[in-house]
Amino acid sequence: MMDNQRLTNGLQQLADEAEPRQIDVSSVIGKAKAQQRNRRAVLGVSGATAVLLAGALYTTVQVSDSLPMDPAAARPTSTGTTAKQEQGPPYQPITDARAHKFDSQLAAAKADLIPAGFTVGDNPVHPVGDVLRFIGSPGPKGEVDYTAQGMLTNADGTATIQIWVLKNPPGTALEHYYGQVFGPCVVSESNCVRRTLSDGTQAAARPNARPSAMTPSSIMSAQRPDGTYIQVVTNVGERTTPKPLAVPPFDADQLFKFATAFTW
Amino acid sequence: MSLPSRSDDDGRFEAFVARSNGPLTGLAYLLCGDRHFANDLVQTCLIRLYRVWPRVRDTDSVDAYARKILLRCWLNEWRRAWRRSESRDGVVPDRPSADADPAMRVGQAHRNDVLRAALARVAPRQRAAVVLRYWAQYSVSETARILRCSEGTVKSQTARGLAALREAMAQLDTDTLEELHL
Repeated sequence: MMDNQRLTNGLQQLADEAEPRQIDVSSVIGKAKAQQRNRRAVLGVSGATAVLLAGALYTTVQVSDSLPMDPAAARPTSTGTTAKQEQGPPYQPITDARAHKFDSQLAAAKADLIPAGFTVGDNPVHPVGDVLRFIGSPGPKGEVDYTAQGMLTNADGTATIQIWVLKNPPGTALEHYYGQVFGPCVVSESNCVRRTLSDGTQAAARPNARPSAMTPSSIMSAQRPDGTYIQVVTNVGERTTPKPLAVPPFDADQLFKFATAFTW
Repeated sequence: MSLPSRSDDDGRFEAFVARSNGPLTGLAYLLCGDRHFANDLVQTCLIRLYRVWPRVRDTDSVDAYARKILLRCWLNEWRRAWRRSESRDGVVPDRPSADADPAMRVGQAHRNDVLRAALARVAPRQRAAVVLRYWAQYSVSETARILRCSEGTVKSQTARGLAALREAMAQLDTDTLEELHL
């Protein structure tokens, strides 16, 4: 029987593991104010758009009232379609020039990055639609993160692949960013390979890694001198693909190829 | 009576951050199981809190309000497809403490690993209910307000969360269970 007090104690000891990061209050305040400004700007644009639409609708009604009525033209359109169009993700996916730039960089390097024998497709368990196409999304600190996802399949099974490209200030050391938690190798990681590439890119690869609470994955994180931060994860987790491979694809050398494939 | 100035608000906010950074990080860590993500969640939570800070007058309820924001931030992140499909941990070992007995430290680290892994197997809202009830020591009604659900839902989520935790723990060896007293 689980004793409530002991559970409380256990949770307290676990919570104590997390060392709070020093908070720069002025930075927090600055970011909050910037978000408020952005929000007001968006609301302003939305308001202006609503006023314009209302004006256009009023004009349309006035004009149509003055015209002879065609019953066919007055037939209502499908509201289901409209409602469907209004649904969408909680944020607008960003497919801007930078996303296309990363798409081009991936296309150029794809033959070298994806090992022979693998095909790339969509994941029927978690469909992404745009297979290995970069889509930007607002990150927690106001930045834009670009993500490309897909599923790798060979004769033995399947694995997911996800690539993240972020931007840090030039000269940033390889570290942990924004929940992309796989940074430099730490002392206890026996299968973590750290390498400084010829262009100065710092990278850490963990082929066939299995951190606690995570299914087998091959992971690479890289920090390029210009600030481009790249992370690649292939995963063979149960319930994430239809037929998970026994071992996640990519050895260290194959993972390191991603470290210089993208430039912000 | 004059309205508080912006600098008064900022001063109050700074004092709140100094006081609450540790507890909020602990809560975030119990929810997400990742130190770096926990710190990011706290930062996001504080940014959102500051946006409404001038309207926060009741100092007694600000802690619960901050925890509510933190919980929403975490649930929002959880819903992001890439985070849902890729459970991540990325645990970096603690720096050694000079004054701790090494054997005891290893044992505690192992127990924490076990409990963290078990918590990760509990569904997000059930995990939140268990953490708020048994770590934050909130009552059922307080937990219901934070989770924005009925008290009955809190009770059922907590019971299911405890059952899931127990089931995850059942996969451990007896010695570890004895050490954890669970």
